[in-house]
Amino acid sequence: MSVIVLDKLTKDFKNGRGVFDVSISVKRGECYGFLGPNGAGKSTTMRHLMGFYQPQSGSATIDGLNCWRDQKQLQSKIGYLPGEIAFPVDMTGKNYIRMIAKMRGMKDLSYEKELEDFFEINPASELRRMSKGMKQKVGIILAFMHKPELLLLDEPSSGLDPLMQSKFIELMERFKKAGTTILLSSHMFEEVERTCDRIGIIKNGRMIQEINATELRHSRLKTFELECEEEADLNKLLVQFPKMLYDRQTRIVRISVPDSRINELIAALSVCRLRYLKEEKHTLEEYFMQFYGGKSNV
Amino acid sequence: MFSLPIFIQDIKSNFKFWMAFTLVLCLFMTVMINVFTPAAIGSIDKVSAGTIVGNLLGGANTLIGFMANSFYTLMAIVFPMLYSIIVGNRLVAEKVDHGDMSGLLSTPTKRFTIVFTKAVFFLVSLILMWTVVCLVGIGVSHLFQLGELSLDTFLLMNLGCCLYHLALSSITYCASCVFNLSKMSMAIGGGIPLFFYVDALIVKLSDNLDVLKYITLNTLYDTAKIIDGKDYGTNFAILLLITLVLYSLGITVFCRKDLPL
Repeated sequence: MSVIVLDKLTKDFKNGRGVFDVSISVKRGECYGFLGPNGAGKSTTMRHLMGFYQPQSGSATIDGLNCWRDQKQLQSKIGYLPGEIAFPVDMTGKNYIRMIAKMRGMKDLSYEKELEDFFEINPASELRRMSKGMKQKVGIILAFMHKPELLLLDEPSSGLDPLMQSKFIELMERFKKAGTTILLSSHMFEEVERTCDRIGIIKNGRMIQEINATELRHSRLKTFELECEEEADLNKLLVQFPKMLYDRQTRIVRISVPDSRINELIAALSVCRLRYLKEEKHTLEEYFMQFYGGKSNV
Repeated sequence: MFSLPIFIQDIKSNFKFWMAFTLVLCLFMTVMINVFTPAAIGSIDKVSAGTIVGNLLGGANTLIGFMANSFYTLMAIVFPMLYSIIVGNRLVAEKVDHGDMSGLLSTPTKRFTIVFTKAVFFLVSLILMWTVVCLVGIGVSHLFQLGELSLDTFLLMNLGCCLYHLALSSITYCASCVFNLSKMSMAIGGGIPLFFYVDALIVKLSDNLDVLKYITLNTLYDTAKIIDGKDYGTNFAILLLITLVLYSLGITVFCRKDLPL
């Protein structure tokens, strides 16, 4: 049974921006990742689900309710973390959390306390004096404190340090276990890959492809950079991996292999003398290119 | 329909503006009532008869007449106008532009409830401002100009001024609801009231530019008619109607528009 259903959702902002013909459906308890570069239309899609935008054509529904018309009913089930968090400038974090809780009709704030401790934050200071990371934590608390059935998270871990990022992922996993449906947008492959069951790749407002996360994990090429001590080793590697990139002067080599050939690579390297070996981090763009066989028009 | 947390938050966040402008108004009210001396004004009247200054100061030989031409054409117009321009913009457009409106909308609260509550706050704050100013005026004239003030006319004068400012606030509020950018809301919501003021000033200075009086709200607040005690009712009704229409329009637009939050 699908919770979130987008049916040919279209919103044209005229300057080439917007979303066009986006259709997805997310099942109850599923974690769906929205992946795409900046300006791809991730936030626009989220705003439709939040009832901030009225679809030009197509529709956005949650639990069969129209996101634009039945906004009030839906908001009690939703926890939303906006991509660009903005708080009132003249309130303390504590007061703001209390006000939102009141507007949500919450009486019991014990879980909110728990979240404060979990993220090691004391929101008593003024919101405008908070750092990006602190604001992000307050935003996360606001989205999670009422234990919503559905989480809409727009680039949730931006501004968090690595430790807090993994704590955040831990929190998401806890909610996922409890049956919460999650829609997560991100431009970071790693984040989406770690948490999501299914991933939709969006670019220039169009859905390019939907993929299974496990499928993606193994179909991807990984790139390793290494430096050989002797040129002879470089030549040996070249025989086995003729597509590798190399520089004879510095003896630095770049090899890209799919997961299925990883053991072959390790075996080949085991008989070489290396100065170093490291995995290259890819930018999102590079990942796209790999995934679509280098077609630049994705 | 009405949200108490939003109402309280709006009070907290705008109290300093309300306090400052109310204080300034009370101060000027006190000073102007003190300045009035019937004899001195009478002699100015004779000298300036038939000149532009005479146009500006006509019929100022009673306390209420004097106040009508000084306080109620300048301070009582300008200061609350500034209040409306600033606070009107803060209530909605600034929150959309800055983005913190999304927090309110993420809770199970209808858009209508949010802007309706804010409209109520805006209207109540202005009515309260004029209640305070009016009471201070009565108190001060009782202390310094005992027996000079005709209370009925004074009350009507303040009622009219309050209605005028409610209508003015409806312009700034409507602009604030319609525009997503704070600067656009400021330009329209602030520009129109300021234009009205300048336009009304020009109308007073020249007899040839009478047409201009139809494109300003200020001529609807006609102090001369209030002092005469005649024909002011229609103007009051029109001001009230403008208030109702523009507030409703702003609220309706806000409920239907796309919000880039």
